[in-house]
This record gives sequence, structure tokens and C-alpha cells, in this order.
Amino acid sequence: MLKGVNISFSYDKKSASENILNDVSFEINVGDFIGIIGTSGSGKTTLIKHFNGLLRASSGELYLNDKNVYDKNFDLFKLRKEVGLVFQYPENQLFKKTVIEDTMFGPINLGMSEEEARTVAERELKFVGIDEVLFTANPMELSGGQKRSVAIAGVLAMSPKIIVLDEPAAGLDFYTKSRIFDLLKRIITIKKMAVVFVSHNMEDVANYANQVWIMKQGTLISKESVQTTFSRDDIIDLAGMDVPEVTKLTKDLISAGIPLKSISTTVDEAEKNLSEVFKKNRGH
Amino acid sequence: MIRIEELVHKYTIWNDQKEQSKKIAIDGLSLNIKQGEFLAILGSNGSGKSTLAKHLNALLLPSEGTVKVDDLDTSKEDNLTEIRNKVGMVFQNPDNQIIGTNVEEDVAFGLENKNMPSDYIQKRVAECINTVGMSDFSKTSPTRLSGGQKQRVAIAGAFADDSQIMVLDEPTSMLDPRSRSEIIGVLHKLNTENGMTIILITHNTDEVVAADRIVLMNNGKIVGKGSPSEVFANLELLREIHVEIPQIIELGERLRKSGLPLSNPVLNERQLVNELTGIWEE
Repeated sequence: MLKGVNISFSYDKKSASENILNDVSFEINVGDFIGIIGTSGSGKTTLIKHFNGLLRASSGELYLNDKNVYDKNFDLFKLRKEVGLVFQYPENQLFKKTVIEDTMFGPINLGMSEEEARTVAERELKFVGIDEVLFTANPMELSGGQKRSVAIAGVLAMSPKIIVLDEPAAGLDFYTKSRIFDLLKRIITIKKMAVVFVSHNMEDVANYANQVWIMKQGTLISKESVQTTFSRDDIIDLAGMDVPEVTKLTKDLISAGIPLKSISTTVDEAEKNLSEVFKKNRGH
Repeated sequence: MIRIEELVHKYTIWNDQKEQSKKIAIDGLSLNIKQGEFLAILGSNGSGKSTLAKHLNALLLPSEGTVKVDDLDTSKEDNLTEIRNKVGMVFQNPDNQIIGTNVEEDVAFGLENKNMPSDYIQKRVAECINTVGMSDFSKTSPTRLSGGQKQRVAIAGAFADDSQIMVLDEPTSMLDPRSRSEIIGVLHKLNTENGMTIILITHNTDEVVAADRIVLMNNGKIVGKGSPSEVFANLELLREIHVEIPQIIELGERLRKSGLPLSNPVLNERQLVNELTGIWEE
């Protein structure tokens, strides 16, 4: 659906040595749940700003459904409609007087009538789990998790095919965070979209993503499944990242001679694998 | 050292220019914090933990009850300077706390404001920058530092002022995993080597397993406290107040319930590896 080929970016077009992105190539398709990790300053946010044309690559190409986005005749409007971006702390960007008006803002800008926009906004607010009684509330009165859901509804109201979120769980407690990630899962399964998120939390990535991209100094150094990513110590180390605690545990147990088939990346998986080998061992 | 008695904090909510209502953020909370203690305060969003932090150096004043730092009442204005000298604060976003044009200058800011002699300032600043492991960057501009490095500079600044108590309100929530563990490491070093009292407010539960004591907050009240082994032996309470349970502790509980003879709780990865390999070899 969205495809980048050798994308490089520099704020100063003359000097390639100051590149913030270097030859990044990628593909995002329906059903993808992609977690992007990397240290601060590795280029994660710069990369996602290319997805909907907020930044334009200094060199390289971007294709939306096989159409070259950087072509003179391409209408960037199409890209902005297909790819919705949710920034860090999106609740700071809610600005209308009521929840429903805030959610209608995007679709109205896309040229919908007030009536159509209201129908769409109501539908998406319900989808993200905002109770009808809150539609006319002031966004500032909502809890942190509700505000973030409203911000997501505002993007969904423009019916994108890809939603990209920068640190969607930052500052949220455990419970609120799991609700936001469950919402993202539903966006993929029910709306048949793709979700891409940037995260500093390896456990969130392991629990929810089905693909992990690792950024290091402007280069996309790995695009693998969660399992493969976290079993590659060399790459994780190079990127200055960590593995989830249970992954570290299962690695250490394997080195200590306990015959686990593979490393685990989530608590559920670790529980299952450990129970199996210990049951066999204790059965003897 | 810090004595909180029956503290109540009410925020005023302005619905419009005339109409107002009150929201109780802290609801009759009492707590003593001992000198040299590493105390962690855990709670979900809206539990009142950040409001409590702001009472510890008189950024907020009690609606009811008292907060005393070394017997100095925070509600008496005459005590303000002394209290703020004793209690340093570090907040979530390092970008909002750094003002110097290079690391040295930033760390020196508090001391300069106190009119300390310049050779003392130089010596003290170098010492503090060294303690947080930033000596290689003393002339570097803060804009060239990563989030974790900036946060270490903010800690050095609070430390340089000779604060005896440091209150940190979610200091790692914007940092990548390595920077997070570096910061927690620096805090433990300040605590054990310099005897500094550390009060760490967080919802990253894995940062608190090495604290001396944990306080659990919910709806403005303390709902549990104790050593990490005491607090993590009752996971039901943590779940009830929506606090995340560290992966290792959760896994330890599940394996124990399925019949493996593990301790309750297993606090860290090392311990779980040791206990599991012990069971395996039997």
C-alpha cells in the first residue's frame, strides 16, 4: 500500500553528511502492526513524518498504491487522507469546545458536509469507546486515556488506511495503555487497516506488534518479526536497545542448560514454554 | 525527616468564569519518610502521586493537614527558602528543566544563585557531574544531549545544591530503555554512596523492585505500603489499582500457582533464573 524506496532526508539539502535518514526502504500493507524502536535521535519521528508527506525526502521515492507520491501530478491530499498521523501527547492538540466538534474537524476539512461529518464522527467516537454522554463534553474534562481515544477518533474520521502513532502509550498507566493498544488491534482487524507505532517500551512492542523496525542513526537496520528481532543480540546491542525481561530470562535459562525450544517475548509465551519443559522434567 | 499528617489537597475546577467546583486530589494522607530512605510511590494516572510530590517542597500547600520537612512547616512562608534548599525536584520532561548553555553552567545555576564562592562552585560542579557520569560532556551544549543525558544533568543540578532529599516525578517516562536503567542506577548510587533520600514517583513498576519501601496510592489515599517483597506478594491489590506488574514477578506468580516451588515473590530476573535452575537440577 505505502512503499518507500531509498529515502534519504536532510534539513540542509546541500550536505549529505547531515542526513537524518539514509536510504530507508520499507513497505506497509493492510494488517501490519509495526513497532518502530531506536534511541532518541535515531530518526524514528523524522521517518514517520514522511509517511503522510509532512516531510519530503531529499532523495528516494515514496509510492502510494504504486503511484509515485513525489510525481508532479500527484495530489498530496490523497496521501494525507490515506495516512493518518497521531503525534506524541495528541491530547494537547484537541482544541474545539466539544468532543464531537473536535472529531468533526478533520472530515469537514476534507470537504464533508456538517451532517456527514457528524455521522462519521459519532461512529468513530463510538468505535474508540467514548460514551455518547461525553460527545458534548469539553475535551479538557476527559481523562488522559479518553482524550487520547478522542484524538485517535479524529484521525479515524478521515477514513485513512494507515494510522501512524508516535509513542501512543507515553505517560499512560498500565490499564489505560492496554486499552489503547486493544483499540489499535481492533483498528487492524475490524477496519482492515495498518497500524505503525513508535515506542520506547520493548514489552509493548513484543506484546502487540507483528513486525519490528529498528532505527539507528537514520538507517533502518532491521525489519523482522518480534521473535527474530529479540533473539538477535547483535542487532539489539548495536541499536542500543534492550529485550523484554522475559526474553532475557529465557535466554539465560537456555544458557544454563534448560532445554527451551526458543526464547519467549511475552509472559504468556514464557509461561507456556516453561510449564511444558518443567512438566516433562518433573514427570520423570 | 519528612512528616505528612492528614494531608488534604483540593483543586479548584473552573467550569466557567463564576462557577467552580472542588476536586479532592489528596484525601487525608499521612506518611513519614526517613532520612536516607529510597522510597518509591506507585499509582495509576490520577491517583494523586504528582500532587503529593509538589507538596514535598512547597510547590503546593495543604488545603488541610501539615507537611513538615525537618520540622519546617511548608505552609509558613519564612521556611520556603530553607525547604527548597533541602528538597530538590526533577520532573518528567528534561527539556523543561535545563537552562544553561553548557552542562557545567547548568549544574552551577543553583549554586551561583546562592552566591557561593566561585572556586567552591567549580569544584562542586565537577564533582556532581562526575557522580552522574557526565564528565566527558561538561562543556557540551544541552541541545546536543540525549534525553537520558539531559535528565542526568537535571539530577546533577539538584544534587549540586546540597539538597538532602531528591523528589523525582516520573523521571524516565520519556526515555529509551538504556537511559532508563542508567537514571535508576544513578539514583541508587546517590542513595547508597551519598546518603541522599530519594523519593521516586513512577508507574514503571520495574524501577521500584530495588527500593527500600514502596507506597501504593489510589484516589488520593495510601492503600498499601511495605518492602518490595511485601508489596509484590499481594498482586491482587496492584491489579485492583491498575498498577503494572513487572514481567518477572507476574511470570513467577503464574509458575508458582502451577505448582513449581518458587518464592513469593520472585523479584528479579537473576533470582528467577537461580530458582528455576535449582528446581531443574533437583
